[in-house]
Amino acid sequence: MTKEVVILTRPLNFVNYLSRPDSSALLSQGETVALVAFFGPLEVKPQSLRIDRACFEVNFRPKTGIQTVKDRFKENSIKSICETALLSALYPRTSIKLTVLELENRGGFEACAINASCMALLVSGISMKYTVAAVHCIVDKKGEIVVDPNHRQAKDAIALFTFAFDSVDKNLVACNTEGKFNMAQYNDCQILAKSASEKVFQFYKEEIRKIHENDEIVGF
Amino acid sequence: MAQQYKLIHPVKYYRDYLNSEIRPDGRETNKCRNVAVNIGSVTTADGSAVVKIGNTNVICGIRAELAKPKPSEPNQGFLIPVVELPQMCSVKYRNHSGANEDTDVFSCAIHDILVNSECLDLKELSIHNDKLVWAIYCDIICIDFDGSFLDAAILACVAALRTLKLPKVIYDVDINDIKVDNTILSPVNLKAMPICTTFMTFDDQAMITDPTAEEEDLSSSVINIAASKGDICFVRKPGGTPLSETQMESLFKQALDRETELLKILDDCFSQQNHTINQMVE
Amino acid sequence: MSSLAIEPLLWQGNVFFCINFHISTNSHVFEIPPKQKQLFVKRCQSTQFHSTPTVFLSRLRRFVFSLVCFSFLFQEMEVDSMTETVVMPGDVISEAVELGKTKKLVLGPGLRRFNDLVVASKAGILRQKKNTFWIDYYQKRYTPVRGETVVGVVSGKSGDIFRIDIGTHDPANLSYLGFEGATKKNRPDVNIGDIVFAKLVVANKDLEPELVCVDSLGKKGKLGILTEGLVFSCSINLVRKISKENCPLISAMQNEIPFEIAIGMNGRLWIKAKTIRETIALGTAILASEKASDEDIKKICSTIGNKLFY
Repeated sequence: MTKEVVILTRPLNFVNYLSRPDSSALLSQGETVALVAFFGPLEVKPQSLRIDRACFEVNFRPKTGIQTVKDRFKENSIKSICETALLSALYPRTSIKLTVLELENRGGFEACAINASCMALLVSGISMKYTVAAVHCIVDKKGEIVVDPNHRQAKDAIALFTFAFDSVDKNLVACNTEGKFNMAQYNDCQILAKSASEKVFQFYKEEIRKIHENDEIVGF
Repeated sequence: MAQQYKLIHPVKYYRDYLNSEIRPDGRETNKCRNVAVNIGSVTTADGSAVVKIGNTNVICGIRAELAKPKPSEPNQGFLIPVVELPQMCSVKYRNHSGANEDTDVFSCAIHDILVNSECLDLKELSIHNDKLVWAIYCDIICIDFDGSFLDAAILACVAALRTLKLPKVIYDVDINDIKVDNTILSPVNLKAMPICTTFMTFDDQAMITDPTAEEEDLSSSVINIAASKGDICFVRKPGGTPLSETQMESLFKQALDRETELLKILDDCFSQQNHTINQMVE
Repeated sequence: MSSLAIEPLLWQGNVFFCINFHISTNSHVFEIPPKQKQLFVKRCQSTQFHSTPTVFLSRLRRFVFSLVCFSFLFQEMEVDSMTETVVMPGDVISEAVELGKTKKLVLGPGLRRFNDLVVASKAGILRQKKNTFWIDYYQKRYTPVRGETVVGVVSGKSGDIFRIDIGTHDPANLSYLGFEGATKKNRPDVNIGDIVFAKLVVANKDLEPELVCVDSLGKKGKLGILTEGLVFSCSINLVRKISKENCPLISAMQNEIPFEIAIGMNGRLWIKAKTIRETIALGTAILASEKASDEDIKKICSTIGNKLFY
């Protein structure tokens, strides 16, 4: 079976926006925008000290109001995804903090937040096993799959997926779903999302190149 | 000697077992623990169930309350799972109130599974549009936390929902008068019964089904898959070892098999006189 | 006619102007090479453009047209940037693996061994010098390295030990005996808030960093308490850049203004000139040079003196 090549429909934009944190990422994916601030390695609180690795904390701030149970759920998955990518064993007795701010959610925020977090980790110069790229995709009423849909396209979705892939073997690091679907739909989505993740990895590389080419002014 | 070895090298101890394709508790890697279900034992609740999967022990009690609907969804009732992980269930949880980060994550996961599987039509919980609906609180209390908590919690929740009977409510809009007739009870219309299965990976390769708490601590990633009527309604893999498509596919197959298996147990339980069933591992 | 798109952008309190860098005249389309674009943005940041919008625009136009005129020249000046390979965490460095089969390898920062492979763990530019490989990456937070000199702030005193904040996760320890000529009777006068220029003698991920203010002969050399002056924070990359032997920045600035500088490898610069005004000017000049090439640095520095003394 041949599949046409998928390209991310929404453009990605990145800027290291904040000057105070050790690194930051303002990442927009279409109209969805996430701001991530990274601090670390920092001094660790005695109760969360770990002698074999860094204590990794993620703080997710929704656009309005206080954290809900749903936000804690997102926070938890961002945390475990980043923890997978980090080589935290190289930073024992320290803490690493990530603050994720929701600026605009017009579909696929979780994927955007994961990509922004990964970008912040990359710019901070902390050691990582691999990079992680997240892709959001949906199955709509007609049973068609849309990769990285915009707000309007996502309105009549019957199932939503957020996949995260690693940069080395392109295997599935994380997956979150919403709605009901069958195995075939899941498999199709995963394969399409996987090919779309390539685009995110290229984007990461391009941004790193820009930083080192002196083309872009990085916040100072 | 084995005890000391386990204490000093827990990972190596476990790896040695897996090399001979058996787990420390005698199971094969893809075998689940035996399941015990008891329904309706909490008489103070509107519906209840106690579920044991191995040593994991979960009670689910359901209370139905009358509430005003959200203005954005005036014809929909509420289904609110609340997870409690008290201090007694595991050494992991030190908080007296039983509230911590995991309770939120589990509550959200249970809510997602119940809603995604469309097991209850929230519109049927409406009594009067924009005025009165049922709010169904599923209080899930963990007595013993020994891994695969979500599996047990979902099973308990589904079993309890199946026992749930709502009284007849007569609502007069004009004078805002609510009359509850407790003599006429009708069961809720349960459209689907989602079943969740927990998997984990160890050493980045071995796939293990239905892990215990000890195993979960050693795991490199934990995966939850919920199935309902042959479809998948929830997949959660929060980071950890990256998996290939074929690995994921084998997990889906196992999750679907587990669904039919557990539903049979559930059906048996409801057909039994004393409403208790103990599945034994062959 | 020529067209020029100008779009104001508020960023970090400064007004920046994004310009469409393709300038079209009647028959030609010129593209401004990145180096010049860079210089241009720097110019926008510097004070000469901080004036009324109309004056600004006219200056801007003049500047852009001068660029257009020299556009052909610039194109020749452009350096081939494709020789630099960008590596991402997880990438296998095949050159290193190949070389490792026959020779002994030295792996620098950002690289790690994974089974038989050499794998990158940081994102940046891969560098090679004979059999040594390393990655140049951007970093702001300091990880201590033994033997490096750092600028720190005394954050506490406990018994015989001073706690020095050098920007790492744990404060560094500095014993009172770590100063020249210090004995039990003759204690150095160090107070909380003092700036210290010291050398790291213990830097290990499992231990607290330890500092001394003397060399191996017990002489203080340039180390010790720094009085007056100002401390600037910057990225680790900038510090490495200006402490390179062939970096023209410090020598170019010396020609303009006399000053003292202590470069801490932890991303802190202590600068002292005759007046505060000059000190700040020097500090800003150094911070601005982060993204500039060596030629640009000379140009930037040549104007500092003029600006200060009109």
